[in-house]
Amino acid sequence: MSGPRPWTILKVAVAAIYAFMLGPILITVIVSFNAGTRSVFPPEGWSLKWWGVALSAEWLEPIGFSLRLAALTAILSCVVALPLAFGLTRHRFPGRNVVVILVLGPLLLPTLATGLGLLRVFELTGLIGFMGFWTLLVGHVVICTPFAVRTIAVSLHGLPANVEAAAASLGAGRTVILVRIVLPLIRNGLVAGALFAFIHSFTDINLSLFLARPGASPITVKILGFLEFGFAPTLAAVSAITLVIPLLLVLLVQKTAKLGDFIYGESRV
Amino acid sequence: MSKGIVLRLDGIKVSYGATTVVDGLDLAVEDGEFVTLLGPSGCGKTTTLGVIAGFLQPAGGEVLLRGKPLVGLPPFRRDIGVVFQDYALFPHMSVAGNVAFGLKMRRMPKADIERRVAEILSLVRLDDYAQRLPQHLSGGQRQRVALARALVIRPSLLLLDEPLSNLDLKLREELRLEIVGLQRQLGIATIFVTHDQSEALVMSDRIAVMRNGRIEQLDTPNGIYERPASKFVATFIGAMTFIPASLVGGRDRDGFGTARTATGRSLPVRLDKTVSVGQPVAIAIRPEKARLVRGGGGLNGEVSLPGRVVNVAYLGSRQEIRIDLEGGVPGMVEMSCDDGEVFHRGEEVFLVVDRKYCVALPETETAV
Amino acid sequence: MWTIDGKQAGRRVPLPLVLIGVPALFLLLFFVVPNALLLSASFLRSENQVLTHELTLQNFTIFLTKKVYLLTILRTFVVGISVGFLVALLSFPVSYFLIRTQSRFKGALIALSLAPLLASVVVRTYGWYVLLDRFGFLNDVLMSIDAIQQRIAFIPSTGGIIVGLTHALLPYGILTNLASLSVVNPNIEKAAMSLGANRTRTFLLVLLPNCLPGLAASFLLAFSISISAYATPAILGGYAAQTVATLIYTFIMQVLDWSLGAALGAILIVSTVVILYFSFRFGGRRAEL
Repeated sequence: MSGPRPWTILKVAVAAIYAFMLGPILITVIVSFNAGTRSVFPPEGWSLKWWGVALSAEWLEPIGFSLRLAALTAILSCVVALPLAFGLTRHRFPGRNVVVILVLGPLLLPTLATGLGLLRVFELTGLIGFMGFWTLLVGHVVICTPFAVRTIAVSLHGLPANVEAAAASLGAGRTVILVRIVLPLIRNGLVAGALFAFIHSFTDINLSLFLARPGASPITVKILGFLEFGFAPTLAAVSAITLVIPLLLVLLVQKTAKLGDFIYGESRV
Repeated sequence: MSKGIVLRLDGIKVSYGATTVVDGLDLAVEDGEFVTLLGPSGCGKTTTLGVIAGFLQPAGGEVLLRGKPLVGLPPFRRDIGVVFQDYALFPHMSVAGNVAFGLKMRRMPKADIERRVAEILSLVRLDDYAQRLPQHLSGGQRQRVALARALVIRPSLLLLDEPLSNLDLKLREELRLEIVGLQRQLGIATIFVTHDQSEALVMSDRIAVMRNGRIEQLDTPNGIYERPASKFVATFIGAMTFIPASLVGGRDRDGFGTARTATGRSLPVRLDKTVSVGQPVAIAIRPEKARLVRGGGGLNGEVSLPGRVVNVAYLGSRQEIRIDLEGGVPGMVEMSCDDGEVFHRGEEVFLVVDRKYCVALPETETAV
Repeated sequence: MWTIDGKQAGRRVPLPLVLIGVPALFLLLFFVVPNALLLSASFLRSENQVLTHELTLQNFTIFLTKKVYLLTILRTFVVGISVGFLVALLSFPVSYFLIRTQSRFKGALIALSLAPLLASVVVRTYGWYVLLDRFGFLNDVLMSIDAIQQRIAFIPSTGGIIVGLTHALLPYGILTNLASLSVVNPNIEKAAMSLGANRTRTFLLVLLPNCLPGLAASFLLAFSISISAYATPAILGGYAAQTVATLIYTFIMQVLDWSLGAALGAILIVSTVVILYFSFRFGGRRAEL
C-alpha cells in the first residue's frame, strides 16, 4: 500500500483546521504586545503599555458592567428556566409543542431581530428614557434562558427513576424532596446552564448593539465602537481580557461539574 | 500443510503498549469445523478474532487462510465473514440492502445478487422482512440479518464475536441451534467467541479454552469436560469439587497415583497430566460422578470421604448438595431424586466416588 | 414513576400551568411581542422618521427594486451558503477525528475545539483583520516571497466576511457533528470492510449516509447564524461589502428609518424560520436542537 495512511492524512487535515481556528485568536493576543501604535503581526517590538491602558478605569468599567450583567443574567436565566424545564420534561399537556418552540425560539431566531424588537417595545412603552442596565438585562435573560432550559432538562432526564418515590416512602414531603433530593441531583444542569448563560451574555453583541446606551454599554459594544476609529493594540489587549475571563470561568467550573454530558447526544426538552 | 485446513494461526502475539494481550497463539481450523474460543473477559479471544479479520495488526506471528498469508492485508481483501456482538447492521439500508452489500462489493450481477439474497433470507426465515429497516427489527431478527449478511458472500471462514450475548436466555438457546444448523448446512469453517461455557459445549466441534492470551486446552467438548488439563479449565467448565493434596505415590501401570490430603488421608488419583511426586495437586471430582451415602463404605475401587451437608438445592429432577469435607474443603454432589433419598442440612455423610473420577491436576493457584 | 410535581389530587389549578405559565408569560412579553412588532412594523410606512399606521408593501419593494439593496441581500445569502458549506465541510473531519481518536488528550482536544466559543466575535475577527488587511501579515508574507508586487486589499470584501464567519462558526459545526456522530456505531465501518469495501467505499456508502443529518444540521445552523451576523461583516466587510445585518444597523441607528430596518429584520426572521422548517424535516425528531 503506497502513500500515507488515511488516518495520517486525517490527522494532518485536522491539525491544519485547528491552526485555522486558533491562529487568529492567538494573533489577537500577540498583537496586544506591540511596542508601536499599530496592530501589526509580528509585533514591532514588545511592550506591556497597551495592557496598562486596557487595565485602566476607562476599560475596566465596561468590563465590570459586562461581568455584572452576565452574572445576573446567569442567575435569572436559571430561575426562569427551572420551572420551564420541570414543566416540559414531566408533563404532557396540550400546547406543549408551542411552549417548546417558545422556549427554544430565542435560541433559534436571530438575536439581532429580538434586539430590534425590544428596542421598539421600549420606545412604544415610553421606557426609552430608562434604558440601560435593566433593559439590557431583560434582553439577555430572554436569549440566555434557552441554554439553561436545555441543560436542566438533560439533568432532569438523567435523574434515577424512582428516587423521588423512594424519598416519599421514607416520609419526605414535596419541598424536602425538591431541596434535598432533586436540586442536588440536577446540580450539573444548573451549573452548566448558568455557565452557558453567562458566556452567551458576556460575549453577546447582536442584541446589545441595539439596547446599549452611552454609559450602559457592554464591553463588546464598546470595543466594536472603537474599532471604527482604528485597530489600536489597546483594543487587542482588551479583547484578550474578554477571552481570558470566560476561559478561567470554564476551567474553574469544570472542576466541580461534568460539562461533557451537555456536549454530546440528544438534548431533548 | 495438510489438506482441509482453512485457517492456521502460528505464534500470534498482540501487545497494547507494554501489555501482551495475546501471547504465542497457535490454532488450526479445518474445513467445516466449528471451533469456539472460550474464556473469561480479557483473555484475548476477541483480540484474536480482530487479528484474523484484519482489524488489528499482530506484533508477531502468521495468519494463513488456505495457505495464503493474511498479515498486512486489509480487511476488505480477506475472504472472511464477521458477525459482531452488536450486529453492526447499516442503519440506512434495508435488510435486503444489508445482506446484498458484500455481494455488491464483489461486483456480482444484479440478478445473481437478488437470487442469493432471497435464498439466504429464506434460510434464516426472514423472507418477509427484506424491506424492513434495522431499527424496526427485534434483537433476534437483527442477529439473523447479521448472520445472513456474513454468510451470503460464502466466505472461506466465518467469525462470530459473542453474537448471542445481548439476547435473553430463551432466544440465546434458540439461536444457538440455528447457528450450528446453518453452519453444518453450509459447511463453512467457523470460529465462535464466547464466555458462556454451555454455549461452547453445545455448539462446538472443538473448544479452545483461553487464559491470559494463551490457549490452555484445545479439545473436543467431551475432552474438555472429562479430561480438563488444568485447574483453570476444570473450573471454567461445569462445577467441580477440588481437594488440595500433594502427590506421594507416582504413576502405576493403570495410570493411577496416590495423593495425600491436608488431613492426612491417602487417596488413589488418576494422573492424566504429568505430575511429579511431592508436587501440590488439586483432586478434581465432578459433582455428578459422586454420590452421598450415610454411614460410609463404598464399592471396590471407590473412594469415601466424610463430610457434613451444608445446603441442599432442589432442582426438580435432581438435587445439588453442598457439603463441607474434612479440612473445611467445600464440595458439591449432584444426585437424582428418584430414590426418594433426601438429605438435610447438618447431616454427617460420606462422598463416594470411583477412583477413576478423581483426577489430580497440577495446583497452579496459590491460596484462596 | 412518581415525582414531586406529579398528579396532585385536589389541586384546583393544574401544576403544569403554574410552572410553565409565569416564565412563559415573561418570554411572551419580551420575545414574541418584540418579534411580532418588528414583523408588523415592516408593513408600516415611515414619514419623517416616525412610523405611521399606514399599511404598505413599499418597504419590501424598495429592496427588490434598488440595485444596491438587492446586491446586499444577495451578498448576505451568498455568504450564508458559502459559510454553511465550508463549516459543514471543515467541521466534519474534526468531529470524526475527535470521536474516533484513542489519544489520551481527547478531552483536551475537544475542549480546545470549542474554546473559540468563549471569545466574543470581536476577539476572533480582530485577528483576521490583522492577517488580511492591506498592511497586514498575509500581504507581508506574499510581498516578501515576491508572489505579488503590490499590496492587495483582501478586506474589506465579501471573501473576508466568508473567511471570518467560517472561522467563527466552526465550533458550532463541530458540536453538531459530534452529536450526530456519537450515535453512529463504529462497528459498521469494520463490518463494511469485512464485506469487501475499501476505505473510500466504506466512507461513501456506509459512513457518509449516516452522517448526513449532522452535516445538514451544521450547514443549516451556520447558514442561519451567518445571515444575521453583525460584527464580522461590520469589521471585515466595512462599507464596501454590506450585509443585511449591517444595513439594518445603518437604517435603525443612523438614518432612523424604522420601516426599512424592520423590513430587513423581517426578511431575516422569515429566512431563519424557513431554514428551521427544513431542519425539522431533514433531521426529524433530532432537530429539536
